[in-house]
Amino acid sequence: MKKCHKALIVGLLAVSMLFTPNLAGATGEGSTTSTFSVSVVIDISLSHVPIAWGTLAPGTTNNLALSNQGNPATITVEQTTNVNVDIYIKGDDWTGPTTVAVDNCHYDTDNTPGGDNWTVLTTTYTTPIFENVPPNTVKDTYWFLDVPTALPAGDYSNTIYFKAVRNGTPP
Amino acid sequence: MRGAKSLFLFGAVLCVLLVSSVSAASASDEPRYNLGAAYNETFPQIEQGASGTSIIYFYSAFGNVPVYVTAAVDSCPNGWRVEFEPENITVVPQWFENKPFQVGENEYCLKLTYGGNVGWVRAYPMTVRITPPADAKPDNYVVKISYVGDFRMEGMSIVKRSGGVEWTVEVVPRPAPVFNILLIVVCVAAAAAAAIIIKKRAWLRFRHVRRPKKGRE
Repeated sequence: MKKCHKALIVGLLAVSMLFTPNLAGATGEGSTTSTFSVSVVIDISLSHVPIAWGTLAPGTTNNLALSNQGNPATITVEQTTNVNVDIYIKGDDWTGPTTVAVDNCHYDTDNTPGGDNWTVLTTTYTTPIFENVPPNTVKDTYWFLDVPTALPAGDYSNTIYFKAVRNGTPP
Repeated sequence: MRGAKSLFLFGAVLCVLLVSSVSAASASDEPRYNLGAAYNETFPQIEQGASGTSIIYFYSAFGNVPVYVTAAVDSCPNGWRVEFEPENITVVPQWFENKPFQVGENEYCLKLTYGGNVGWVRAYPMTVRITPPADAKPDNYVVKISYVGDFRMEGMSIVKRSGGVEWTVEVVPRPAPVFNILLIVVCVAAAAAAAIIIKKRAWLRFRHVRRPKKGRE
């Protein structure tokens, strides 16, 4: 009989602890917050940028960027990164005395125009220039520019974006 | 001869010093545009009618150029609200410390591992609050946000480093109020039953203690 009472009390207490009412839910308020721990770290450095070509003549093609200013532009996936990453690139049109379309620019993984990784610069992220890159990796990109004929003299500038996402995630 | 030897040593030391200063100068002159982002891969479940938050920590341990970070929503279901607090952040580069250190308001001391070492960096948290509409059905929804690190030099933006976070957000049903009331009743009944049983046992013990006395009399 004594044992039965003890078991009953323990059981009832357990039931009451298990079914603690959710008053926040009842009032329609409440929010959840994340904890401190982080599971994904993506840490990228860019060096040998900004990309620059110096003075170029109109009507010339595949002008390689200046040394260490796009020849190459270096992307480092730092050692704090804990996932493999895909790297995408996009850019804007050049603005200056007139507009120069973004597709006058190409980038590559070597300093020779053409080949497998020869890619035209676009205003949206399309295909990754580097895929499944592990942490602690250095990748070089080489930049080429065509100058349209009869382009008015002046300074032209644009912005180039380097995007790193977890491998397999859309940009 | 001895004087020549001293001069040679002095020259060697001077050369070493010169080489050191040149390499140090070139290392500090070379701009390095770094931005790190740390976040939880899973977003907390959100109850219907409530909101959920997660934090992205930005830092620059390997860089030497401050970076101005903004975030935007790439895609989310119709009627959902995604807010960033703060809306933009300036991340100041700082190398790792070998122990936790005091940070300022709206900063975080973030523990990271790098090359087999453990270090702490000054991180700048950005809270992402996601609020589904009150009538969102329990299901999994994809929310994609992107951030852009703008490295400004002399007021002009020249390089931008961006990244993206894709979260699958699970909306779960809110417990019905009737069910909650029922649970409260069960809990109260359980407590009352426990109290009655304890009281009854105390009375029985009391009687049990008194009976032998009577027998002895």
